[in-house]
Amino acid sequence: MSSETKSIPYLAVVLLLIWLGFVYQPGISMQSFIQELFVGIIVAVAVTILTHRHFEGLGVAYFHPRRVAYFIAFFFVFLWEMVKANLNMARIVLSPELPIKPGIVKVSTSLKQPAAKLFLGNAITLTPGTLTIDYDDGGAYIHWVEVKDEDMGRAGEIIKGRFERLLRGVFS
Amino acid sequence: MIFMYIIMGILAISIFLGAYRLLKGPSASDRAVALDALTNITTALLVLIAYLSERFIYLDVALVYAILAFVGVIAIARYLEGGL
Amino acid sequence: MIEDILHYIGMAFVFVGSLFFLLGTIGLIRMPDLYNRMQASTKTTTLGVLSFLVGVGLMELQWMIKLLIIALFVVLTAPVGASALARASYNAGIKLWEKSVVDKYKEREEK
Repeated sequence: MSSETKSIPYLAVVLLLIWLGFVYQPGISMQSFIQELFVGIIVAVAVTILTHRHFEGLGVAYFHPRRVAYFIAFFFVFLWEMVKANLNMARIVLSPELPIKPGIVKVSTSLKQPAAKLFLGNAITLTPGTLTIDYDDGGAYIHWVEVKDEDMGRAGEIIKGRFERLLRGVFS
Repeated sequence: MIFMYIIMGILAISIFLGAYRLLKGPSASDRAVALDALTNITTALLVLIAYLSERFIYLDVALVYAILAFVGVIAIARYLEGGL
Repeated sequence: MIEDILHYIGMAFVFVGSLFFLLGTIGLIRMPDLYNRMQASTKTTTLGVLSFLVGVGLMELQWMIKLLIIALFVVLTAPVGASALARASYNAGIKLWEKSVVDKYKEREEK
């Protein structure tokens, strides 16, 4: 039983939790909640059986506590960076002379799994002045509002920051 | 209650500015970006309407609207790339 | 008592969220080219939605779960849509601003 196969039950659990979040409403009675729970279990298992093969090879694997801890750390770092990004963007937008120096730089990444790359790309897009445009074999192409460094390594250190280390903890 | 009027005023000004870019924007992509920003604002506005009318069920409208907006942006991107 | 405090915190979140919407659309008007506009509008409106929904959730605590699901969905999908649109626009031939300093993506295509 490979680690990919082990991830299948967790997919059903995540789907069930999302379903319960959808059907919950204030003042729901116990009886109808139990009915919704049964329907949720059936739907989650059915969807898992039908679609689990599309999740293989993406790097989505089981919830080891260490991964969950890394993911929570990643989430809070991400929220903080996002607030900083927005204050920075507010400063740029509101200053009269528009202090921008845009360009597209290339950044290498050592992450391999598609899911890890997706999270890194999303995090980059939502944080200071950077927007992921495309991935290829060597790395990511990133549009940057204030280009501080054109070199691949140093730009990568500024842009990716702590995200890549945390994501490596989540997906390794 | 006056607070809600202020919020609605700010949202109305935002929608107005976004609509300016939507109508003027030199290329189709500019319009798509403006539309994306406007759908985010509309999602927030739907949630505000749900809060003001105290109907929990209206939140589903906002949820479906957000999902459809995402599908729409992806469809526009595919079209621009010639894959549709 | 505690609900009153949460209510006022929620109002603050809602107000900050709507200010971010305003900033995003001002950026949409002022920025010189598509990619900079995208940067301004995507980031600020995403954080705006997040802040707005959390604010409404604090004002009406029983709605919090569903609002968090909507917020999570928006935060996950907005950057994906922006990236797809940016790449599609680049491949459709929309130029960078003429004062841009570097364009590694173009060098890739010439190779």
